[in-house]
Amino acid sequence: MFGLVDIVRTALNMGVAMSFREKLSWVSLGGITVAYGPYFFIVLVLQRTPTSLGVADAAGILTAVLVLTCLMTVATIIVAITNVRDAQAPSDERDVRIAGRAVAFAYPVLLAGVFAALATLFFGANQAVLINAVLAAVVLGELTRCLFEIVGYRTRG
Amino acid sequence: MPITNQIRLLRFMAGEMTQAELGARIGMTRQTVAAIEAGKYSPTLEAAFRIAQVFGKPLDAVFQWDGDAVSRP
Repeated sequence: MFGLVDIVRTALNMGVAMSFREKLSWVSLGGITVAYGPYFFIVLVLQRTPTSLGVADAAGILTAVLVLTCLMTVATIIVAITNVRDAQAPSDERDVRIAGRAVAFAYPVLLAGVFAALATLFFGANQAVLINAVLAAVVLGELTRCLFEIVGYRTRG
Repeated sequence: MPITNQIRLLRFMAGEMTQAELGARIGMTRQTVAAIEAGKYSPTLEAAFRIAQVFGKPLDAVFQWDGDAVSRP
C-alpha cells in the first residue's frame, strides 16, 4: 500500500541523497519561516506594534513558538520514521564540522542583531519594539545557521 | 580539490561493498562516504586511516594528494 509515509519518503529522497541531519536543517528552515514569517509580517508590514507589552503581544509570540514547536515535532518524527537507520546513527565528523561552521556564521548575525535591538532603546523604542527586535535577532541567527548547514551539505561540506 | 581517492574502485574490489556498509564500518553516514568518494569532502586523518584499514591498504593507496594542482597558476 502506498501510504502517506511512502509519499513523504519519496518526496524527501527526491533526486538528491540527503543525510538525516540535512533534512533536519531543511525542516528547521521551513518551520522557522512558517512560524515566524506570519508573525513578523503582522508586526512589521501591518505595523501592529503596540506602544507597550500586553497579553495580545505575549499571545502572538507564544503562538509563533507553539506553531514552531508543533511543526518541528511532527516534521522531525516524519523524517525520523522515513529514515530510521539514519536517525539512529550518531553525527559523524562531517556533520559536526558543518554544524560548527554554520554556528560560526550565525553567531555574529545573532550578536549584531541583539546589539541592534539594544540600540533601538537609544532611539526611544518601547518594550514591544525591543522584544520584537531581540526575537528577530534570534530568528535571523537561527535562519543563518540553518542556511549555512544546508549550504555546507550541498557544497564542499 | 587536490586530494583524490580510489574508494570507489576499492569498494568494487571488496565485493561491491556499498557506501552504507563502508560508512557503518568507519562510523560515518552513507552521505559522507559519498561526499568523500566524489571529492566533495576531505576526511580527517583518523577517518582516512580507518578507511584504508577497512580495505587493508596503506593510506597512499587510497588517497592521493596532487600538491602541484595547488601551486599551479
